[in-house]
Amino acid sequence: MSSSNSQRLGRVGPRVLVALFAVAVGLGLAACGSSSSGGGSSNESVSLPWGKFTLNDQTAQKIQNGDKPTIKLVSINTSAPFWGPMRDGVAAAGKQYNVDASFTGPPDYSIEQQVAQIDELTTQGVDGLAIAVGDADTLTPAIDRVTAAGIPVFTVNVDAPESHRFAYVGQDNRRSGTIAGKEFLKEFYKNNKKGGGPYKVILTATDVAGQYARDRFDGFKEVVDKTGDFEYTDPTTTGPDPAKVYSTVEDLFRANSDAKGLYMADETIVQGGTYIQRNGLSDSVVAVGHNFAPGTAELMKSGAIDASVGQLPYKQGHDVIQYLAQFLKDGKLPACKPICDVGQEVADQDNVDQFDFGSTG
Amino acid sequence: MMSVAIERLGTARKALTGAVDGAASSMLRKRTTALPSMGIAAAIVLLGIVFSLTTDSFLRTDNLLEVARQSSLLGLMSIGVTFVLISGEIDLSVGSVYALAGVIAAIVTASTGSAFIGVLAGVGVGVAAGGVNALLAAYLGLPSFIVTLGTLQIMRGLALSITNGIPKSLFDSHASGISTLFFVGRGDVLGIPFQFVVLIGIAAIATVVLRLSTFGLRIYAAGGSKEAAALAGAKVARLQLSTYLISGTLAALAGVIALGFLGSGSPLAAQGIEFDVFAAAVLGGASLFGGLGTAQGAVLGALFLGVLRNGLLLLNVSSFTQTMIIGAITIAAVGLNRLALGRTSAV
Repeated sequence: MSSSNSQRLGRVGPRVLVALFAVAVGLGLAACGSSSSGGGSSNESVSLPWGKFTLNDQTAQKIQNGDKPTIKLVSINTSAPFWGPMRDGVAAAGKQYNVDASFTGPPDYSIEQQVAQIDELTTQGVDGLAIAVGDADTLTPAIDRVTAAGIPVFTVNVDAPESHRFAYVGQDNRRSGTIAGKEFLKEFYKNNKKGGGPYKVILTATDVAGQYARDRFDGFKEVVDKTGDFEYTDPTTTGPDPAKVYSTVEDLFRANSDAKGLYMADETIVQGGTYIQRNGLSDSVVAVGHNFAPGTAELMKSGAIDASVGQLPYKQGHDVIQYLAQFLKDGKLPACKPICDVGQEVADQDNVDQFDFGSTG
Repeated sequence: MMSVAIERLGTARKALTGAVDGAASSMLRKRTTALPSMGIAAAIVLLGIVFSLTTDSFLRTDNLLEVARQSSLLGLMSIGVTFVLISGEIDLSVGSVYALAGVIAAIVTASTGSAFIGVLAGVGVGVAAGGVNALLAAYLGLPSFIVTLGTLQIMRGLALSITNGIPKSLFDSHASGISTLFFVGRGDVLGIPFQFVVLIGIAAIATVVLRLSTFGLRIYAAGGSKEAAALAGAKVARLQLSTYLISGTLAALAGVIALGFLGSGSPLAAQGIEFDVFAAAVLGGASLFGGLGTAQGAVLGALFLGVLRNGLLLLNVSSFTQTMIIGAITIAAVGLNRLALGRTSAV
């Protein structure tokens, strides 16, 4: 090699080496950046208690392109009044976090339809799913199919704890039942003697087989059973039709004329309270329920309903979309995981004016 | 000669029409007798005996009056559906009409300050629904099962959309006439629930119309055979329009009365009531194939279901078991009814 060639190589070589080194460092930093953000801007894996989750290519590409991800909240039965505020929360979070967020689900309580919709959305390539679980056992495999397809899932309002969901956003329904139980006992022993039982409590729900109802009944009984003062009727399904709810409560009180308590595991407490009011039972029966359906306030003020445990459905809808959006865009998982308890509100005859009862929250 | 021939043809046609009407009238009078109702009445009595012996609260006056009230709105809807069934068609939309009527009545009452206008609006929903169903099924000839299944979805969806799923409450309403609406829903006449009084009144009118009017007899004829009825001079599509209007109006009336009773209109009202409505009509002697049924039978069918549900709840039978028992006993009661009809019917 001539000395001029070796000199030329000597001058070019280091610059090339520096340039190559700079490119390598840049690429390395970029790679590190994306892996530390989890599934957000690339499809690196993120570790969860049940294993590794890898965001699907389509969504990862969408995020990298700066396109709006699509997030759906699949409810259990869209026709129930409870979902109105949650729908509003979803819409608000969608705007706030710049995602295409919407609310869907079967109009009537149907696990099969809910599973079918979830599978359909998975095939269509939705970017994130929030699922209000109709039944934990049936929905768990469906949720696992979604995450296996690289789509993140959060559960909302009702959980499927054994599934591959990222986190649960909502109220712990069992805890909600224990709160209802505590409110019940607080009111009951104002006018009834401790140890004077067994006092009979009528139990109902729109659908006693629903996960939410089973959890709430368990929570309620967990607290109330400690007193040893109570016995229960078999939980009775009322269905959603208000006239039928009223008739069912009417017949249950006829069959159990010695009943001193009524626990209705959802907003059908309005019809229960209406029966109590019309039949002059406000002073002799303690009635506790859930949610803040229209009519609850009036019945509470009249003394027919003693307490109702609200679920903050707006917050549930808002927060679950927020968490999904943050995961998709930034790879962040909420600090509250795996259970993001939105808390609860308890309305009773003392504080009833503080609450917005038109929203069924 | 041509004009004479035409005149003679016209006379012959009139004679034929008269003969068909006469034969139909005689035949149909058998079908509209109390016979189908006797079977279901016997079933009610039997249930009553069983529940009286097995519970201590069934036979109480206040319980029986409650059952009467609980059965009233179902009875109204079943009467309406019976008209449609007799004419050979079907109306699955009644539950949704009930819900939409209640919701519309509540909204209009709240916004106009007049319960009277609200009630008119609610009942108007039923008339409109009946008209739409008739237009599609009777005039355009689309299958009524599909048409009314479609309008069931449309109206339920409308009720949910208008309310965003949240019931419309009149608890605090000071609208004019609101106390009258509440009386219709909750009041009583000499201890008898006013809802039940309304049911009996409408059943009586419906019975007279079906048994004693040409209109009623032609509905049966249309249900028996549309072609024969048309040949006999009946305007079948117009008859079916009338039956759909009756069905829609009665379902809407039931929804408005429910509003008066509960104080709020819910988009979920009467969800799934279709089984009960058709079970009541068929228990009362109506045929899903047309040509059979009575208003009094529909009322008794509704009362049968009311007694059954009441008794099972008084016995503290679990919800899950109730569902099975109601299905099984309904089948048995229909069988009993058909047995009674089959033994003596010449048709």
